[in-house]
Amino acid sequence: MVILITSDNVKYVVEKDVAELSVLVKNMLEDIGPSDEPIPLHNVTSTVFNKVLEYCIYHRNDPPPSDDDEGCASPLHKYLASHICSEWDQRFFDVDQALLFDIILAANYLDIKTLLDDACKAVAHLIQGKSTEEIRGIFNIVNDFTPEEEARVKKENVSS
Amino acid sequence: MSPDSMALDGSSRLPKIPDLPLELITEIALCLDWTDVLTLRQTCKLFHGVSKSRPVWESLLYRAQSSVVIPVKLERPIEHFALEELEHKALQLFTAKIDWITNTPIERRYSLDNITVASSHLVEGGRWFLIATNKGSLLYYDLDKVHDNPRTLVAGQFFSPKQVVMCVDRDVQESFLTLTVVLHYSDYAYDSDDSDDSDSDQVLLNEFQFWKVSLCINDSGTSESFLAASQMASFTQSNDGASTVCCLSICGKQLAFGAYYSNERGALPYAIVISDWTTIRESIDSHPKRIIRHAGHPRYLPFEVQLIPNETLWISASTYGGSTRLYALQSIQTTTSLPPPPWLAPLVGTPHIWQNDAATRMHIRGIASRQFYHAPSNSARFVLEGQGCSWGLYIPLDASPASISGDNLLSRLADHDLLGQAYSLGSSYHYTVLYHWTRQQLHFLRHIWPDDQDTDSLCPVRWKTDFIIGLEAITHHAVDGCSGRIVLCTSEYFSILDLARYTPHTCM
Repeated sequence: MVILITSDNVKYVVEKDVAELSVLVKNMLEDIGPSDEPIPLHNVTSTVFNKVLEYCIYHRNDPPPSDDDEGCASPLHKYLASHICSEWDQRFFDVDQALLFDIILAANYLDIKTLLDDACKAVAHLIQGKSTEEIRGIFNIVNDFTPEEEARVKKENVSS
Repeated sequence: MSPDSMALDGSSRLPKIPDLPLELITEIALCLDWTDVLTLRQTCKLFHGVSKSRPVWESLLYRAQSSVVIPVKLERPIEHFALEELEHKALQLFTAKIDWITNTPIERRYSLDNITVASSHLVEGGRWFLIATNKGSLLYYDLDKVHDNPRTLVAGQFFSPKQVVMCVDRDVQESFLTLTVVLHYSDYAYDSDDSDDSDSDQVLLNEFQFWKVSLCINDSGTSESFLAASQMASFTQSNDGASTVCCLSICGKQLAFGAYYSNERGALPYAIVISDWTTIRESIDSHPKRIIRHAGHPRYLPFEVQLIPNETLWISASTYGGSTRLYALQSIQTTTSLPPPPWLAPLVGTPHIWQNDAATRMHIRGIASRQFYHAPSNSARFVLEGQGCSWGLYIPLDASPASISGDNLLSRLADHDLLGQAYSLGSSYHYTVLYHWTRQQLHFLRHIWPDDQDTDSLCPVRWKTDFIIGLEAITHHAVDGCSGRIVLCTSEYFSILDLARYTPHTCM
């Protein structure tokens, strides 16, 4: 068992194989050696960590990501994999955007590659097939182009 | 997520993608299709930057070349593409698919000042256009440039015009474009004093040349690419009897050609010769070779030959009286003599492994496409041009040549009802481009291969108007399916039509 403490001081007791899905935690455990000392997760709140933990427990028996070796994972495989999403994953990522982005940040901080990839896919899914205006609406994006710039970008897109 | 859930979200901060670090936004962009990347680009400056980043377009170009039935072999590794080229090339490959090709192809013209095109070849990928002239020079144009002058690979070798046949093979093992270009030059002196006896024609030249043409990159910061040639081999054929070579095929070390061989009776029997060109020194005459004699009357020629990577050879008679046949090279006897006159031996001497005599009924005229490698079925395929239809030839590569049989090697890919008024300009795997000469229109005939998965968006005939070159003026033509590019040569210029989205570089 591994003890983890989130930034809002919530203590989690997690099975080792689940905790080690996070490369960050795995490395820290290796550094400190056998010990009962709790591991602080400075950049993750308990709200977000609940989700991360849910994901890790569900996926604990998945085969390890094949792209450990960067050379092996072709962009195509990555892309094809991005279009295979289980029902469970779809439900898991059906959350508000703030939480979704926090999951991405946490996955990045904790270094959980599969969660990061899946969360990015979930965001990409919100963008797919949408118009420029729709995308701005979904993500509260302020159009910071000058009218001239906007016209130029549009033209670029059509002629390229 | 529904908009409601956003509104009900109690958190005080509004979620914003731009709050994420740039690397994570890029990760998200890597999951998008090219159309979404282009849309995202227009939303704000941050995404504009992300949509122009190298990882995004490297990934898209990789997907563009591999996510098709016939994978595209790029001319160089992706890491050797400049950022702008990545985007241009990826968009070109994506939009060269038939559902994306434009309704208003842009025509560009390149001048052919004083160049007599004897033979031409549009290299797979649509960028390089090779021209063999009748004076023995080999030139090329870079069609990715808006304007390009002809550049010389091989300087002129002859003072007087020669007959030229050219054939090109690509070495797919090389990561940078590497071609073997084989050229056959011939020339005759006609004896005008004795016009009754055609045998007194004197063969002045009968030579094969092999050139290695490879892509080079100027590494001095500009990353400009160009082609360079070096000669690999050359040899002659005996002047006695050997005559016009009218078709060539090269596949790795194997060379196949069809030629007339004159004889004392004045007839022009025809033979197909296959040999390992890499071992021939000076002359092919006494070199080991395989010979297929053909009984066809010259009037029904020329034949077409196509070497297949599994050691088979496909030949076709182009008009009635002929047939399409497949031969296993191993089953053709090897000889060191010149092609013997056919009346000295039984006419039907060479066993073939497959034949379709229905060429008459099918009106097959010849090969319309390059050879495609279809990975899912491990087969070689090409498109044949028929009257009113296109045919697909399918040759399994994993079966031993002897076991190839059956009627399913040929399948009808597409029909049209243009009543013989259409002229094929060439084929890609997915379509044939026809030129309708009375309407002066281009027609696109979509192919349906028997094992095509996606046949929902059928558009059997698509056509484009306002095309201007008269058919009689077209001397050479080519279609490249990878780039969606059509080349049409006249005696003064050649025209490029881009069916896919492509912005040619003004400088590169």
